[in-house]
Amino acid sequence: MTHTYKHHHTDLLVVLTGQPNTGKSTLFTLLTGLHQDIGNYPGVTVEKKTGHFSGNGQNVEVVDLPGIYSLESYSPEERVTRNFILLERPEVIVVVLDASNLQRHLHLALQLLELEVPTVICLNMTDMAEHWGLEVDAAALEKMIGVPVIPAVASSGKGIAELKKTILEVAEKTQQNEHCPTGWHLDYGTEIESALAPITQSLSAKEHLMEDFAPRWLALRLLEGDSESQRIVQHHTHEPGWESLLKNSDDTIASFEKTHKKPLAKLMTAKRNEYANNVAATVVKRVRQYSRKSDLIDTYACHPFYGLALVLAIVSVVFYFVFHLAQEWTWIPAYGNDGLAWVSPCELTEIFFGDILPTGLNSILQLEEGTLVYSALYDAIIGGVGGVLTFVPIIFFMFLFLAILERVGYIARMVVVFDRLLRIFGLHGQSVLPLVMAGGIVNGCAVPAIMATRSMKEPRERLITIMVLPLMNCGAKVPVYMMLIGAFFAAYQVPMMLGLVAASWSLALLSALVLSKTLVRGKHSPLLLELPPYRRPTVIAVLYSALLNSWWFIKKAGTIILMVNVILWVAMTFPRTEGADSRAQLENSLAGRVGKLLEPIGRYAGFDWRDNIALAGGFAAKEVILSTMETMYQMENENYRESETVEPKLTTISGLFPEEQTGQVSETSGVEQEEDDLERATNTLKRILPTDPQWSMLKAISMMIFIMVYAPCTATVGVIWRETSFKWAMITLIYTTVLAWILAVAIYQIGMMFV
Amino acid sequence: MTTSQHTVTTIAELRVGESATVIAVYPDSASDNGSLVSRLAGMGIFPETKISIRQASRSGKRPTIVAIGDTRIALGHEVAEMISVSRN
Repeated sequence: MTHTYKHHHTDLLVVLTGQPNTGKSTLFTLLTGLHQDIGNYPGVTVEKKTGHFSGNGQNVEVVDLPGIYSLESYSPEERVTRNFILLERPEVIVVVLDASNLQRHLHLALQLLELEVPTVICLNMTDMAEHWGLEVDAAALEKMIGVPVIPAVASSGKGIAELKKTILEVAEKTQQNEHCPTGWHLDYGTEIESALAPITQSLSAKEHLMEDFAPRWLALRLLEGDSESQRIVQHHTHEPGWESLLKNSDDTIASFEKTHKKPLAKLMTAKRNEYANNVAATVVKRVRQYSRKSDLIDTYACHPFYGLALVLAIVSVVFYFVFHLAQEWTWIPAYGNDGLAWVSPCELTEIFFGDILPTGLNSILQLEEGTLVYSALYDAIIGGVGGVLTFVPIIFFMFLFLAILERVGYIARMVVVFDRLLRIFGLHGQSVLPLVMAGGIVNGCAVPAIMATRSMKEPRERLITIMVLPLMNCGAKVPVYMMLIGAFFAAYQVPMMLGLVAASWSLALLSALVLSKTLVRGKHSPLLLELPPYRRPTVIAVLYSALLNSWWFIKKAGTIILMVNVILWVAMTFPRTEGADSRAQLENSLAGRVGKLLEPIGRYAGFDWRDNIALAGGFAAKEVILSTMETMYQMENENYRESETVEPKLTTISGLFPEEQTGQVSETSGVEQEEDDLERATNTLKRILPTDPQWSMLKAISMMIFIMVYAPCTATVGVIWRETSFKWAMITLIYTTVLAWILAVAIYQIGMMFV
Repeated sequence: MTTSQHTVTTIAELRVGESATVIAVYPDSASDNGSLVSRLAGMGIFPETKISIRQASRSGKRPTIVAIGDTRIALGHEVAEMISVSRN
């Protein structure tokens, strides 16, 4: 049982462990480069990062364990670390310590050393220690704790080669003889040691147990009253005698408590602290005084008013740059038919998948336009892939900025400033950034916003944040709002938009509050957070974070999104109606039939079946509502212009770009044409809707609120699914749609009383 | 506890600039299973640690920021109330 997830595919297993903010993940990146994989430990929402490097002809698997403050088995991170080290039996564990704060970090290091697994200490941030006027003697530390100590500066790559070399050396020794005791023991004093000895001895006699656990370590944990260790003794001993063993340790605990009036566990912790203090006092010398600039910055950055203003300013700037770098600014040169043109990364993706690839491919395949195969290949599949990839530039730039904020140490300050405010609603201080990214200021996208919650450590608050992010006004909802506002409230554009922003924040916060009291119950973790000193981020670490997260999105979320969109395409294309125009075809399709079926329900909100079909199309991407609505409405109201109307298609699923019409791709670039389509649909609808007897200002408001709240687009659902689980993705889908309907009905019905 | 009564208080009651020595952490037993004590210890807050206040709780209006040597820890009001200290 204990060896079930032992490594198989590599020669050596090495784990990185240490407290948060030690530069552990930068070190991991430097050791493994881009050979990384992010996943979860089975059954818990603790991120698992694995990577590889090779050296001495050996393939080394490196696992970056979660940052922890101690090695008790209380938090999921602590349990994961402890179990992973004990059960996976890595050849080497690398304990990363912050040289500038050695005394505190030794607390954890001593606990890890007691596991008696071959260990290498990486004394990181020696530059920081020096900067602070501290002299840290690595050789003296090595002598005191009996394991290799490698000084390093992860941010500049110093010491990495030496660390790799030492890891391989220690691993080689481990491989040569199974048990490689470090030779170091923390002395707990005669009284505790003499109580410890008999327990250690009787544990050593249990062969089954000793395959996996160091007897002294287990004895120490038993004396601390650690319940998990008691379970280990129960489950792993196949020989009789464990009852008396446990009773023995319980008796010792009781007798100590009697004589010392203090729990034995506390006495032992005190001994460890004392030892850590001694080591630190010997090893670290203060050679000059230093005044921390971080403290000065923090008097403003953590201030309830200035701090708040600073967070909002920084978040807005990040938001602005992410979306402008990805979408708005045309800074990438592209050579097309018209010579050199400047495009944005998102446009480049659009042009490639909407124009270059289909045109190029069709010059080989020679498929006839308008046929089913043509539509399936270019609209559903290639268009779908392109739609997924248009998110990538946004995700890339968002993680670039997020990684900078994180490594600078600013995220922790953000939490401090916003904690009290957002806690009221069951959210977390860190939720503010995702909320803005999702459309808190108008425009934005829930997909990168959901991914931005990754750095949140509290699983419950993270889940609640993810579930309310789709309620924000993302960039795909805005064109639909603009059309309806233009058609019915042309004189009140600004107040209407502000009203929509206020509505979406209120709904998101209230939904969070209700979710935290109903579906996502649990204990709210109290604020307890280290404020690391401000640091300069490492270029490589920041770049890798952006690259790895983008790649994760393509590989893990992209596939789900693509699948759901192909299903949607099928629903809007089948059954085929021969010889019918696009409107009749859509009306008769699966999606159209569902739209008609929903008429009795939608009617209460003022929607007829045409609106229902448009809203169903909006599940693919909210801006598709415009083009679908155009198709549904224009024939009845105007002369049907065959040349301009194309079959409603789900070519893009991007939450950012409107539907594209591949019929004319060879003429103009995909991007210009999309803008034309969007503008045309908007103008047509602006003209038609006010004259339509079914429409009124009331219906427009009801519709806008419905669009704001109802079912997140497929891309968002796909990412929620991947970041949480299928269950939570479905719950989000259902609660948003039900809430949207209730709100729309309430607005429409109450409004009708006054009209 | 041997400390005289009038100097014993919790971190939540301390003001900016005040320094104190940690006596003990009393987790709210209903909601805690020891994780808070061990996490605080890992962050450097355990009995006999000297701390000073960088930002005060002001009866829960804002998080407390505590300095322990070169470490800075932000504590919510409920955590600050669990840590008993004696004023220096």
